[in-house]
Amino acid sequence: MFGKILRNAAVVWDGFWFSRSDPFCLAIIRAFAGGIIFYTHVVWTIELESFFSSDQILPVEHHQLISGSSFVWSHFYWMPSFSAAIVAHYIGLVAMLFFCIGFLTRYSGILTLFFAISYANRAIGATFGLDQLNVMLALYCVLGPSGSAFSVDRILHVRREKKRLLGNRSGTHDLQSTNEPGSVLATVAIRCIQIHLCVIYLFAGWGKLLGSTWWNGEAIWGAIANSEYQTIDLTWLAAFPFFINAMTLVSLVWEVSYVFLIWPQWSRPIMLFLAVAVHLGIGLAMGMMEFGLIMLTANIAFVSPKLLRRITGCVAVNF
Amino acid sequence: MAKKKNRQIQRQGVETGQDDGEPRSQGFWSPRARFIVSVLIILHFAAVISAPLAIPQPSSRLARLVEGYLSPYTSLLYLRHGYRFFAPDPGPSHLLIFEVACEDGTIIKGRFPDSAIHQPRLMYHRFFMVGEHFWNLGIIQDGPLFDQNEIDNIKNAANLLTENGFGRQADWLLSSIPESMSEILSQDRIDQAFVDLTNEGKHVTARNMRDNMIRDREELAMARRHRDAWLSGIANFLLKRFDGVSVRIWIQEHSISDFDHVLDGGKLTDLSTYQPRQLVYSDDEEIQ
Repeated sequence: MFGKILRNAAVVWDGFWFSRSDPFCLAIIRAFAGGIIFYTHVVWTIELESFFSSDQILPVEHHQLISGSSFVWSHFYWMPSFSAAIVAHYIGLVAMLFFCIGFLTRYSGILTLFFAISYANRAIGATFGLDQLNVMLALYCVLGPSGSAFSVDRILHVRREKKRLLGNRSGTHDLQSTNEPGSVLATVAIRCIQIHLCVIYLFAGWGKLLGSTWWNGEAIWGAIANSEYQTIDLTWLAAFPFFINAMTLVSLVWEVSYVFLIWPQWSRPIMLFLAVAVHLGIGLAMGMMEFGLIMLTANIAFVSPKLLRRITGCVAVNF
Repeated sequence: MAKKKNRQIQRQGVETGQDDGEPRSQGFWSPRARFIVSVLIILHFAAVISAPLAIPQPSSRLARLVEGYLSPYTSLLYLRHGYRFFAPDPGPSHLLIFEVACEDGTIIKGRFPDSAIHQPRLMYHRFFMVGEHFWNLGIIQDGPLFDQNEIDNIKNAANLLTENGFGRQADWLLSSIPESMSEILSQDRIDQAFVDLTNEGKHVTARNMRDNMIRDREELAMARRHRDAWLSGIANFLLKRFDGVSVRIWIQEHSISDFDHVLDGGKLTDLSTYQPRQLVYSDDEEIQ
């Protein structure tokens, strides 16, 4: 009996992690996440010295004390001078741009991950959820074949194959032969994003269950009425306290139940719709558009590649 | 029958995926490769989950213990996070206010964050986070945890209780006046509390309490060093940025207005919504 349960669990596990899938979904995540990571680091350029030199807003001793671990590394400590750090910064930006467009994706991805971790580690004290999601998505995109679709690499690959086929005087062959078969690594990477995202929502939701304003329905007001965050004035909603209560409770229930309701086919569209509403709401009303977009990018992991191909017009699988 | 059930389970596994009905096949990785990757996946997510279980307080000793073993991995990959966005409650903001004195006598005033200066919005958020993280150190100023007015109020209330024959309640109220954290966590206090609990036969509680208090004391000392190092870095930045000769920095809490304040025509930035500033840094010896 127990052996049978274990065998069944092994079959489910195998099907979940080691089936092959179209890497298009991962590629779209790479393109969006790459763009946001690139932008995040372009913005650092403005105050690079202020934040990353050893004796200014985030001094070295602060970093050592806050990280409390020798495993929290950053390339800034290996630079002989700040001028070298500036050169490294621009190398990092080029790598991130390449990663976004999917050029030399394997190498540019590894470099993007390296720099994203390095900057986030060094900037502890000025970081927030955006940096966490940037690194998480870069990590899983590097793990899977994120450059094998929707990328410059893919275009170059198809062009090379076309030339080869013409060279073989078999130009009548359609380019289906250049299509990558589904990839197991793509499945592993997408599953990792899905599960990691569930972990994030679960703990974000559980954390809120400790707060009184999430129970009395006023938490959303706390976000609306915070002038430091505010980019759109929604304080007129004070006249509609029940609406604020409802928004608060819907947000809470959505976040706590995401881990369960994102998996069934019937509830997935509802959960994704609410994700768009919540994250765009945060982005527009609280001025955290980059954070909202990176969360939505992670949610793409739950969209079928077939639908994504239809939406992006890349039905031709050779892109 | 068993095969049929296996097929059903397999189909369910596929259906929970990101793919809806796309042809799939298995068997591209050998069983050994799948086993190794499965173990790695389990370890990876054990590490990912251990961080939010252990880092935000309160957390269990078990979670902290497990997280301690896995933290090198999560630290290396920047995966060691609590993920408590806007939790437990969306709170007030914390601003760093500064005044930089220049050689010619001019005083430059400003704050972190300042939407007029810190552009684009993402840069504004970076400066905003500096104030928030600084506040979260939990050690803004040394000294008593309550200000003198609050202590006086408690003492007056205790006197009233005593006068009306509620001596025990008055004693209880007076015992709630917190001293500075340094006094609460002094070695004498820890030893005394340990002995008291041990005498009552509460050996496990005594041990846990002593461990927790010692940990709190170490964290407090660390936070103090951290605060001083961080502030001198910020001060250095301000002096360089404005070519100043001295600088003073305050932290100020900006409370969230309630419904009534807004409905009565109040603004989110009304003076009444700002708590009194607390001076946290000054290189002006007279002020120090």
